[in-house]
Parts: sequence; C-alpha cells; structure tokens
Amino acid sequence: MIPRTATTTSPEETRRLGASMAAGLEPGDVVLLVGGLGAGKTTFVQGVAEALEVTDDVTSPTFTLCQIYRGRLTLLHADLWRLERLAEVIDLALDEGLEEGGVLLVEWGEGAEPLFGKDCLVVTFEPGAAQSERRVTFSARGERFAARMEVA
Amino acid sequence: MRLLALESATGAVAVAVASEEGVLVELTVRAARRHLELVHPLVAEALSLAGITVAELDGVAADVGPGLFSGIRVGVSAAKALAAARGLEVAGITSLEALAHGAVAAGAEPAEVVPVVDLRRGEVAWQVGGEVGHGPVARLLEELAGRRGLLFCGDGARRYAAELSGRAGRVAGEALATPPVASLSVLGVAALCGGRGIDPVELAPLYLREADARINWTTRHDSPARRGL
Repeated sequence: MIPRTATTTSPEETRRLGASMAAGLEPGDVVLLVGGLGAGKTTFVQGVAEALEVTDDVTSPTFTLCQIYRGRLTLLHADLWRLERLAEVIDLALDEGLEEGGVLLVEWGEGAEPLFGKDCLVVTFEPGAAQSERRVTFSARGERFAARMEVA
Repeated sequence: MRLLALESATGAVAVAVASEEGVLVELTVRAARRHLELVHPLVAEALSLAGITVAELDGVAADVGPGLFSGIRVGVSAAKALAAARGLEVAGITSLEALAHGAVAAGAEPAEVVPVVDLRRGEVAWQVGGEVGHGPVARLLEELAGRRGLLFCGDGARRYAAELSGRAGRVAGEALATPPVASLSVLGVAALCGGRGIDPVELAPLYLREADARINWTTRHDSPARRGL
C-alpha cells in the first residue's frame, strides 16, 4: 500500500521510500514528483529504479529531459525543469513511451499536470524541521491509484 | 531521379527507393515501435536491393506526420541527415496524403477517401476535401454529417472503427492501417520533379498538437534561462 504521508530523515530513507512505492507500480502508471531543488526527487527515483531492478546509474535528466531505463518494468524518468511551455512537454511524447508498458516518473511534475493530472500519483516533497528531513505526501488523482492507497 | 522515402509516422517503419518509373524497392516492418532501431538498417538494405549507393540518390522524402511524435522525429531526422550530408533536396509528405494516395492506388474513389491518423489522448487527425483537421472523432463525424459511402483508412480509423463504420462508410483493412511507403515515395518523386523540394533544414514535423500554453509552475520560482541554463 502507498502511504498518505511519510517523513524521511536522510537521502537513504528517501531512497527506501521510493523503493517501497515502486513495489506496487503497474505498467502505464504515472507519478508526478513535486518539490524544489534538492528536495529529494531524484533520490526517490533512484530508489524506484533499484526496486525495478534497473542496473544503470540513475541521474537527474535535467538536460536530457527524459531517460529510459530497462528493468523489471521500463522506467521513463523525465525532468521538466528547463521547460517553459506545455507544447514542449507534449513534444517529449511521454504518453507514447507509456503505451509500451513502462512507468513514468516526472520531476517538476506539475508541468505535466494538464496531460496526466486526472489519473496519476502526485508525490510532494517539502523540507522538514531539520536540514535533512523531508515531509513526503502521496496523493492519488483519479481511480488508477485510489485502491492502492493506505486508508487515511 | 532516384529517391529514398522514409516512413515512420505511425507504428510501422518502412523505406522505399523510387524513380519516375515507379517504386523499385519497398520494405515495411509492422512490428510496433522499432523506428529508431530499424530505420538505418532498412535504408542500407533498401539501397542494396536497389543496387545503388547513398551517393547515387537524387532526393529524400519523409513522412512529416501527423502521428507518433517519437516516430516522426526518427524519420524526419534521418531524412535531414542523409539529405544534408549529400546536399540533396527533401520532400515533406504528410501521413494523411500518403494514406489517401495509397487508398486511391488500391482502387478507391478519391472523393470517398478519408485518412484518419491516431493522435492519442482521444484525438485523431483527418483530411477531408484537401483540408486537414484534428480533434475527437466525434468532430470528424460532425464535419462529415450526411455523407455516405466513405472509405476511412489509417490507424485512427482502425482505433475508432466502431464509431466510423456504419452509415458514413467503412474502414479499410490492415494494408492501409499505416501510410504505404510506396505512396510516400511516389508522392516524393512527384514533389521533387515538380520543383516542390525543400532544403533539409526546413523539413519540420507536423505534430498538430493543441494550442500552446505556459506551464503553471508552483515550485519552480526561478527561470533556468536567467541562470544561463
């Protein structure tokens, strides 16, 4: 089950949180990651990649915009930080990659809300009280993830 | 005139070599989504089967879409690269034109043919009476209100076969599910012989995506442009 909220106190814990969420991912799933610079989005995706048995190193795709990793499921890892317009997001054709049975994780995910916001999981990263602390909120949009969420 | 045609705007990937006399070689792989992997091996094989080298080509044609963004980019970039390297002109042909040509070549009446390409996200692109349109399939049906005996072809027609077949017409078979590369090559030869070739730099995908809007950022407070990125 996917928790509603979690608090992590180190990058390693953020990674493990990503890995535990990944266990429940299914082909075609979209996860939008929302949080500022250094909030833990890429670290979280690295945990997801581990759980999906991706063997390549996962780095931030800020400059490549989208990286594709082969694992138990294909992982599409996008980063919209450099983009300004929705047309640029559409040009990435992330939905075409999904059709082939992968899962899509999008950093700066609010940029993809108009495309996927109706049926996805939104994971929000906020700074906690201590410097290494992160408050992580999981929010299901639409039916796809609703049944996989922990009861509040 | 020896022309190489690259078709990758929908699920299939295909290459043809043609001249004014007609199509010399056509190779089509229908296995879905292997554009990037197959386009160059297919080009090498098609040229080899035609008995010519890249140096003997006089022009290149590419399907510029609409269709799969990832597929269109593979074909358009390959066409640009080949043409730029050899100093050749290119012809940009739309997937809708290639489909319509294929249907007519197979015996359909030109006025009855409606090519329909799947754009995903519930939308299709179509061409009716020379006009390109796009939107939900319901809008196409509105536009066709009252017309009968039409032949719908393309992957969009097949996806929405239930909505399109019936009173308005029928949906073409598998052979016209993707734009025939033979048609693309014949249209390419006609375009280049008719002086409608363009510089490869100008060849651009026809995406037909929805109107542009700025991203409504909530977390990104600084512009990467301002940081010089």
